[in-house]
Amino acid sequence: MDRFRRRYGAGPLHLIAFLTSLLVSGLAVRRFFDSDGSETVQILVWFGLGIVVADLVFLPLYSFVDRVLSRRPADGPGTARFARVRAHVRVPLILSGLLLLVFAPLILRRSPGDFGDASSLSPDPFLHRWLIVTAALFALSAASYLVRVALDRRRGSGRS
Amino acid sequence: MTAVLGAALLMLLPLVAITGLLSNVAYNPRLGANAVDRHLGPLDFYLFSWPTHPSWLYAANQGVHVTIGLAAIPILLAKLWSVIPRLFEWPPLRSPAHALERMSLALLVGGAVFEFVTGVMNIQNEYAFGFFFTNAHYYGAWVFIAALVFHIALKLPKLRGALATRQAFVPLLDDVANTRPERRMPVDNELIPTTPASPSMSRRALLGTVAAASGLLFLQGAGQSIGGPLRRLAFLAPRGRNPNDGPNGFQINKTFDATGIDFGELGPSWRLHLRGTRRVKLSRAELLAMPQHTYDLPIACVEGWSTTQRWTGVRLRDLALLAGIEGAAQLTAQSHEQYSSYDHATLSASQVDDERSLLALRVNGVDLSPDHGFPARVIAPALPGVHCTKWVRTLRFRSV
Repeated sequence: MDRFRRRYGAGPLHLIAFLTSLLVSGLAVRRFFDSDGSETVQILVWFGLGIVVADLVFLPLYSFVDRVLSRRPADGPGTARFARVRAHVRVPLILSGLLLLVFAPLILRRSPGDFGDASSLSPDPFLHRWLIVTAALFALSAASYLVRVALDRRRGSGRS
Repeated sequence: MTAVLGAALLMLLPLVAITGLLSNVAYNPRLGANAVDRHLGPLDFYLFSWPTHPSWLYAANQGVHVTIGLAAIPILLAKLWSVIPRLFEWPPLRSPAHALERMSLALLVGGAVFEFVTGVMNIQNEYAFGFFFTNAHYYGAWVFIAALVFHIALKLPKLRGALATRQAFVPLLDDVANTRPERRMPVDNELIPTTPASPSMSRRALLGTVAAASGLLFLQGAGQSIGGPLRRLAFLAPRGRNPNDGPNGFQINKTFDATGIDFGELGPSWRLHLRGTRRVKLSRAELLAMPQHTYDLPIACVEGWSTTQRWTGVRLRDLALLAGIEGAAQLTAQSHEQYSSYDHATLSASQVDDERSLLALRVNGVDLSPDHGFPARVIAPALPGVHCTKWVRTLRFRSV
């Protein structure tokens, strides 16, 4: 047993659990090959792209955007204020960006197409609504920033 | 942080997975040609047949599946962000066990992204992928679930260890000025940075942002699923609006114009073809002369939206009798629509036998509109929307 553990790097239960999981995946993937070949290739491509896009494109992209936004002035009296402003830009940006990411097919749709065929609804309002929500989120964030600054001032002047 | 996000996903993802598998059961894949483009295999085991009580069962199931799925997206993204250092860990493979774990992680991340992306695209009728959504999403789910169960089994002790320490929760309350990197003891963790940058955001602000994002997405799903006055909360959801006013102004899954049916076929010359032990043809006037029954039943789409309306029509079991079938009978309904995956559907004997299962002719006191299946459509309690066949041509009953 110890030899197995030393060689394999974990107990035998680990291997059994892995093989069970792989068996279920295998049974499922086998079903992908039921359909004609072009579908199978597409499914596998989308599956692989998912990993690459999530880990090697999407993540570096938003890290980069955040780095650019976060280029801060040299340490000084403005540093604390900069950090606070940055937070109040970052939060609405994340929320608005996420809504766009999830509902991009509707927000960016310029012709009714399959959505119109299905629902008899126009896709036009989605872009407007997203813009309004984005504006509202930034306005809300700005308002809460001003409230926090005002509260700090009052606290500061009370102390002095 | 990872532990808190992981615990949240541990509660949400099983809900999404179970409602997803139940949705498949609701389609009765073993009946007729309900398993579209699919051979049933070892993963298609069904412990029970889909019930007709309560009538909102399918609506609730799909509402939970899509709403909780949407709400889980920000948490999943934050979780992937928090564990990204592990992708570049060194050495990349420590042992055979470690190599297998990483292989399983590829299936986990690939499966998660595949399931969420195809699901989110499908609810918006965006079919940029070149494969049939239903089967890919169903079997992709098994890959995801298999890898997820293995991942949970591996990480649960770590998760419990992390949540058992004060460290997991107390720092969540700190503001940014007091935000400190995690200490490596008492729980050693590969995710704790060795040379942390100065904090730009407190943990509570990050979690708050994730929660707010989850909440916004939750509204989209919940609004279009619960409907009524709450529907307008779903401001970005595909079915957050009514298509028009009036008794027929509720949500549509496929418009008449998109079917290619010649409206002439549905005019005065239209006949319902009944098949059983005898063949009967009925005009719409003859159907309206039969005993009419009215029930409030939801139309519930696999895409997570639903709407409850007042339907009037003839009981399916009365039509089975007319076709010469007494006792339990399955029904295959065929539409005038052709060449669509859902131009026909087979209902189980218990679905046919339910007194609320109708061939509906009217809705909310008026004739069905073309978009809602004029001259007649199937409506049955807890039946998936696409099985409520519209523009019915033939009802074929078969004793079981």
